[in-house]
Amino acid sequence: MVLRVTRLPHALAARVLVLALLLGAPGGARAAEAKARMPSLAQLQTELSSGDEARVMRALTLLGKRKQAGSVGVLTAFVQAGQPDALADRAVAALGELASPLALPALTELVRHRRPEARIAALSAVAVLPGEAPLGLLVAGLRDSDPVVRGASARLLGERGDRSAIDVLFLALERGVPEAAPALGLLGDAAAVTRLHGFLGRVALQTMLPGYERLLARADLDEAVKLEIVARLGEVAVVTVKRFLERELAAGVAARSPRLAHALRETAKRIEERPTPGGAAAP
Amino acid sequence: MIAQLAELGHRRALLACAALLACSGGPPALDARHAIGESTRGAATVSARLAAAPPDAPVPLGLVATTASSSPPELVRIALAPTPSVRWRRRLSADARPELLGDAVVVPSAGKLLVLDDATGQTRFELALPGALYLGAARHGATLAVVVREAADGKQPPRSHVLAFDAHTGARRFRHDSDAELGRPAARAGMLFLPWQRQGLIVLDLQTGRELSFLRSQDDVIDFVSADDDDVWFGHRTLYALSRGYDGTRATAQALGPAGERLPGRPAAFDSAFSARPAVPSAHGRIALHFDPERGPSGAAPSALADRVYFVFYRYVFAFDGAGVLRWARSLPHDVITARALRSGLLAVSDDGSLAALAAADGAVSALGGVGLPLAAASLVGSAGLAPPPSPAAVPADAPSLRLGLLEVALDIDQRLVPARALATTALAALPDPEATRDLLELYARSTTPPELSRVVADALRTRRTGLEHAVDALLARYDFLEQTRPAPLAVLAPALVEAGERRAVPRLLERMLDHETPLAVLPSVVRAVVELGDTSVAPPLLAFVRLYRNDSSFSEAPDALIEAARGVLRHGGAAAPAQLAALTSDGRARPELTSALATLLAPQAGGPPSEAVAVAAPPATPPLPRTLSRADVRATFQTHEAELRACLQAELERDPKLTQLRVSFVAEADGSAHAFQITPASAPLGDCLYPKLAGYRFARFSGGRRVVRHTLALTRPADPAQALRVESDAEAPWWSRAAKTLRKADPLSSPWWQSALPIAPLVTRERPPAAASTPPASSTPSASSTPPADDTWWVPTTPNPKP
Repeated sequence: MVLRVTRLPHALAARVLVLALLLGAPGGARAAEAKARMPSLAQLQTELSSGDEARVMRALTLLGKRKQAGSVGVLTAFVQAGQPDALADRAVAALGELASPLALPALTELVRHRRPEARIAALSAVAVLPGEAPLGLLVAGLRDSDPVVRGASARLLGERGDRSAIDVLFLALERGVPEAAPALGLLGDAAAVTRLHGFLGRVALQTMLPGYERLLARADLDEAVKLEIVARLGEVAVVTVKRFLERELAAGVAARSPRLAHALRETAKRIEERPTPGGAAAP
Repeated sequence: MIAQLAELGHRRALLACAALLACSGGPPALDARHAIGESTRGAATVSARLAAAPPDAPVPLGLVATTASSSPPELVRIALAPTPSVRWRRRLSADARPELLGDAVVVPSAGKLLVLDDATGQTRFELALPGALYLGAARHGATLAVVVREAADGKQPPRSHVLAFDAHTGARRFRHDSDAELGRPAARAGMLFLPWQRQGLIVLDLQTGRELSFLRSQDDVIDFVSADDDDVWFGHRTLYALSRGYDGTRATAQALGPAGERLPGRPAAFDSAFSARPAVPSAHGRIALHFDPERGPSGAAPSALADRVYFVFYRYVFAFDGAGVLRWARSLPHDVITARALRSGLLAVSDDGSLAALAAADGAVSALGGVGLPLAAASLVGSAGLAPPPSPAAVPADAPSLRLGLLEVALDIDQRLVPARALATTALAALPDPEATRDLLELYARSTTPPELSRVVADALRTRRTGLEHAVDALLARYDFLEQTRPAPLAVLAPALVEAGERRAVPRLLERMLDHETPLAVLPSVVRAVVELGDTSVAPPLLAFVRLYRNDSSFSEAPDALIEAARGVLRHGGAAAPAQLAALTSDGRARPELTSALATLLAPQAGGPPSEAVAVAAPPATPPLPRTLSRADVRATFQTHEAELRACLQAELERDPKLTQLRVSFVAEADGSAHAFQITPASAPLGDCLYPKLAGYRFARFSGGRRVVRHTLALTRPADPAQALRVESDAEAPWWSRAAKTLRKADPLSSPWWQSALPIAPLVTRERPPAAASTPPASSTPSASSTPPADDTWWVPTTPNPKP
């Protein structure tokens, strides 16, 4: 696409600048003022069709913050009209910022976009929407042929906090999606942690540790579960684990649990300082 | 002629040393009387003698075989009734397949021809065959005739020799030498039939050796002659019955053509009479036609007994009727090494020593038991009218339908047998049964299906007109990383559905069009199918598709799918379509390559009404496509994608450090798409990584039909781990260059073969002393002479007639 370079109309430019400043300012009054000074939908539509990439990008940013009826339609139409990659992806991200269920039909189509970057943007936008349908789309992302899309889906599922995704995340971990481990670290309960231990030795330690890191950092998990994690990692007894335990201790994951702190410290101390045989993989 | 005849102790066996090559003063050469251009004569005499001869007594079923994988090798006589059992066995390394002729077993071994007693396995007499190739023997009454050929010296054509002798005593009846090439003989009604130069038959009186007739074919090859209880048959691909009026032309002979030429391995009606039949495991006998010809009523064409011609391809048996229609197909557990067509069906001998009877009508298999010995080669004789031995099982196994029988063969995983699996696949596709379409799709979807077979399936699917609902259903299949499922074979299905005009497929084709998992290389075919099968309802989604991606980098290198979709908009979009398409380019947002293509599509329509003609707007002139996909093109495509291949291969190397090369085979379509990828070595993680990438590769287009491509990626691990793995496309390199990379180092101490000082031992025949101790423990009644003494090393020159 050849973007035409045009002069920004002064009035609109001024408004945009003011708005940009106000958006950064705290306080309800400023927000209200910003809302009042937000360009109209028609104005933003004009900007979108300006052909100037910078103006289009700014308009997309504003549309993402303009949580009013009509924004979804404008952004959807913009994407569907066929855009260069960067603008299309930004528009999809803006749809996500709106967090509007009205965007779901369009996003449902966009998660099947031929470009992985566009799919990731659409999945990210979907992830903030409530309901079963968005969850299904994220799970479908785990089935994608692109590893980056699979990884993004796993991460988004973890961040979404929906425990019904635990089983499929375990399947993803089994199939070699490393991002499934930290996602499970965010979602897993005691039973899931026990199941996760079963992957020790089968999945690379470097894949597993981010999952354990999330688990140790969670306040909602029982101390016993965390102690079991430390014990299991102690059985692996390689330097990588030693460093991990020391790091966790330093990060304060055991600040409120002397027993956990003791376990981290003693387990790390027990592991000898010798190179990990065969790299970082678990024995 | 040097001939020795000697008593062998207490046995009746005789040693007849006929050092054929050293003979002098023999009878006149046969070919001296048969010049080129000589025509058939004496056919009436022979025919009359055949007609006057009473039918031979039925020959009981009998089996003689050589063993495989046993050391030392053995000759085994197997009795078939009441159940298969070893009648006798003896240690013997056969040079050619043994033959069971009446009460004698004839087998060449270690430069000698042994004639054994069928009842005991003991040697009756031996003939020396120094350096000669044994082609075969025939017997009628008490006279046994053998044909051997000298080894070729590269200067003169090898001489052939016919020797007839008494089957019990070894007493010579006659001998002929010939500069012409003679083949394995047949005998009937006291006459010996000798194939001559692949052009004719010489008929001799078996008692006197006098020539009775010379039959010369003027329009076909005579590659064999065979005699059964009633008739003499000869020919090559076509089988002729020897008759009174035969003048050397097809028109004057009753002919039967079992059409083996169309079958994998191109089996002839009978084994060539001019080639020795090996005694070791080989394709010989494992790829064969089996039938028993029957002379038709006066004037009628001959037919096959029970209207069945059986085609054996290793473990598979296909039964055709007289019209060449396939009736049933079966897959047996082991390779069939020989078989006999009987009135009731086929009696098959497998290489595990088991026998099975397959019913002529439906192929129902009755297991007859076995001897539990691995067999290499075997001869099974017996009159066709006999019944097979009774089966230990009361009821034969249920016979599956023709479709299921073919499916079992097609779905087999034995990669040796792909040609016959392709035959089954093609036959399956020819069935009107709608389920056959589903079977073909299942076959295609199997990961064990090699690309050669996938190509056959792809071709076959295009011919299907029934069961297309299964093809439509198959469109639902899509790639799923978690479930490890592969996408639908869209490169195959889309064209097939178009050819069948299957409009029910349109919704699912649209679904696949919008699915990012549909490989870019296949997408044009899918869109084309939507366009060809769709109506006005497909115009909006096609337009939306073009609009969404008109400026997207996804199609920057291959906009074909978008152009196809635009063509569909014009075709189905009505009057507004040209304006809608023009609007896609008028704002300057469409990519240049798409803009150009749309302009070409729209140009002929300027000022004219939109019509179907728009859809066939002439594309810009392009150079003619090559006939096929060259190796260089394949290599270039792989090199283009080397970086992403390396990522997958690097990961695989961490799992398998010994990996040095990767073979990728697939079916390439003329439009540049590819499918049916098979990756060797098979590794699930590697396949998961490579498959989505490979499926999206677009190769150079070509004008010919789809072809199977094999490509090798050679992996070179750098000495420095920090350096990237080297991936070399090796498709262009010949196989020997790959072998050259791993040449073994020569042993500096060993001498080359041409400096060998080993003497070439003279080949002589000697009588061996009878020694009970040399009897193999497993034998029932073997001949002692078959077991060499411990010091009988082959390079030690031996003297004739050592004292016992």
